[in-house]
Amino acid sequence: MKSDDYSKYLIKDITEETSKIRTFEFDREIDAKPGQFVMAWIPGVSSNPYSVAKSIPFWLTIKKMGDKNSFSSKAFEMDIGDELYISEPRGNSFLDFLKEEVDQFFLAGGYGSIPLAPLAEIMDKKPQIIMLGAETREKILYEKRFKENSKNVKVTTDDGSYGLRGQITDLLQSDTFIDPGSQFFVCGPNEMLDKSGEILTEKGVDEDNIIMSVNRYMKCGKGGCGSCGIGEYRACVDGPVFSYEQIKDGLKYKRGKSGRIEYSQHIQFGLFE
Amino acid sequence: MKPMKDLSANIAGLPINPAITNASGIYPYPSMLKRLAEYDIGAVVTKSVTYDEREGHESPVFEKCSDGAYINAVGLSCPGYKQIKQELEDAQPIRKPLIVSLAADTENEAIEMIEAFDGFADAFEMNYSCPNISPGETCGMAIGKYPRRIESLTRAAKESTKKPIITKLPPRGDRFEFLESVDAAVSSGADAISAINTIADAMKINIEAKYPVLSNKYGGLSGHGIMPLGVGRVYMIREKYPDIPIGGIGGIKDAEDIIEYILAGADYVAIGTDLGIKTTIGAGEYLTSLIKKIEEYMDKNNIISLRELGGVAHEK
Repeated sequence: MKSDDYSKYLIKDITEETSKIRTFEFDREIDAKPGQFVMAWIPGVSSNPYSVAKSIPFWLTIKKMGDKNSFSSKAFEMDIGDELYISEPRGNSFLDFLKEEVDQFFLAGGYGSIPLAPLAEIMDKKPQIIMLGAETREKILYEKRFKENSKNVKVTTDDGSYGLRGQITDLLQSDTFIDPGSQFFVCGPNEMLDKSGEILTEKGVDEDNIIMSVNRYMKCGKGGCGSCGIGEYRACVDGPVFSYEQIKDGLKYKRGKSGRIEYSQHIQFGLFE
Repeated sequence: MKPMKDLSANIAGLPINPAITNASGIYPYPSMLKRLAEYDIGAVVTKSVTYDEREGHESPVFEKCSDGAYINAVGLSCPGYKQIKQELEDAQPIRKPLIVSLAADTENEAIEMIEAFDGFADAFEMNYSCPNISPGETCGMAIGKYPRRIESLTRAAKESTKKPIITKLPPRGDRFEFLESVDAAVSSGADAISAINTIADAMKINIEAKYPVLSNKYGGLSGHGIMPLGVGRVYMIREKYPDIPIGGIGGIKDAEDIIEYILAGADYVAIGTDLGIKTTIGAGEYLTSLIKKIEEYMDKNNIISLRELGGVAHEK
């Protein structure tokens, strides 16, 4: 067994998705299932968890957050040919929950598109409807990838600059197309997960048919430190994909670096926020 | 029918049945301990609680060096004792005895924290052993390597509660130095001693990056590879103090490891790394399988109570 957690990957291409989001393509592929994450490390800086945006070729989509010494700020200083250190893929996958016999709906809010896009691409029977939301048109991520994998992509923006004005949860609330017998794959800011779970269960969807990928402050990424706790679970080893039934209480709060509980609706350390 | 087996321990009046706990730091938050307490475990131990909020070190904080060797430097992150107290209250009922681990910097902090938790803690474990503190800090191993500080903190703790005080010691120095720490704990009234914590100041260098992997560079060594050191420390405590209850910690992976610690003189054991790296459901299955294997060993050796094995490796 390899004795080390991190391997060197060279940056082959960089795509500017938005002013604060870049997709890094690497020099070799990775064997990750949709929903799995890696720890990415810059020696002498720090490491961070990222959902694998694509396996072949291997993409990581990184949002610039924190101060100038943060992992993502340093990653944004990198160029083609520079190196990042990547762990083996970790955690579970959306595929562990996928039921072939029913229809799937996707709810992707903001950076929540990242783990859902590779899922849409790998599915034999494509998602019935994909709801894609962001604050503004500029922040819609992977619209093309989703449109190639579903005949029905509904876009919302908070400011109405593209698609329907409002949020995915408004669309869910008002819409009549929801078939409660379907599966719902949800990823996005914590508040969106929390609200979506409530709305969908009110509409009669079983809690274990609502599948969510969660983001928590993750330090070790392999069960030891527990920083990424969500209720009784740890996002790194038990997730990051859970059924709503498993985590509905844990969605009511997030923890900061020390473990301090933050109930604020605008917690800004999560990748999907 | 075979008679019921007794896998329990008694730590200064506190029953731990079976004689297995998590090591402090694994399953850090009360909501996780509540779940862990549903499994085949005798007591649950909190992550070390600090008086003030501490953020701990930057990632990477926990890495594998090889099979059976991990290093970590989480750095005693804690939201502060007041939040943990609230979370523990919210998590009640927790179905197993609760051991609250405290990483106090001073006697006054220890006293205040013990008062705060005394209502629902069944015992306290004094962390004198975390190696991942920064220069100038006064908690964790900055206590465990100075017998005078062990005495002073332990006395303060003992005067603050009737609950058992377990002192968790680092594997300091050679056995003569280590026994100075043990003497200090026993003479100041400790009800039990747990040993060891991770071994201080280990390092893993990534040879592609040519740089230490942990952001703290140094970290405590854990995993199955450190077990012989833990067994030796437990053996030497038992050799000198035939009656003090001992918690054996360090490198436990399988049931035979637990039996080895018991034979060396441990009354109960705690499992860290190998419990932590499993999924939550996997941890439950793991604990059940440990119990089953210990019972098989007991069957084979015609033993009804695990206590019959206690310190047996000292006889002959």
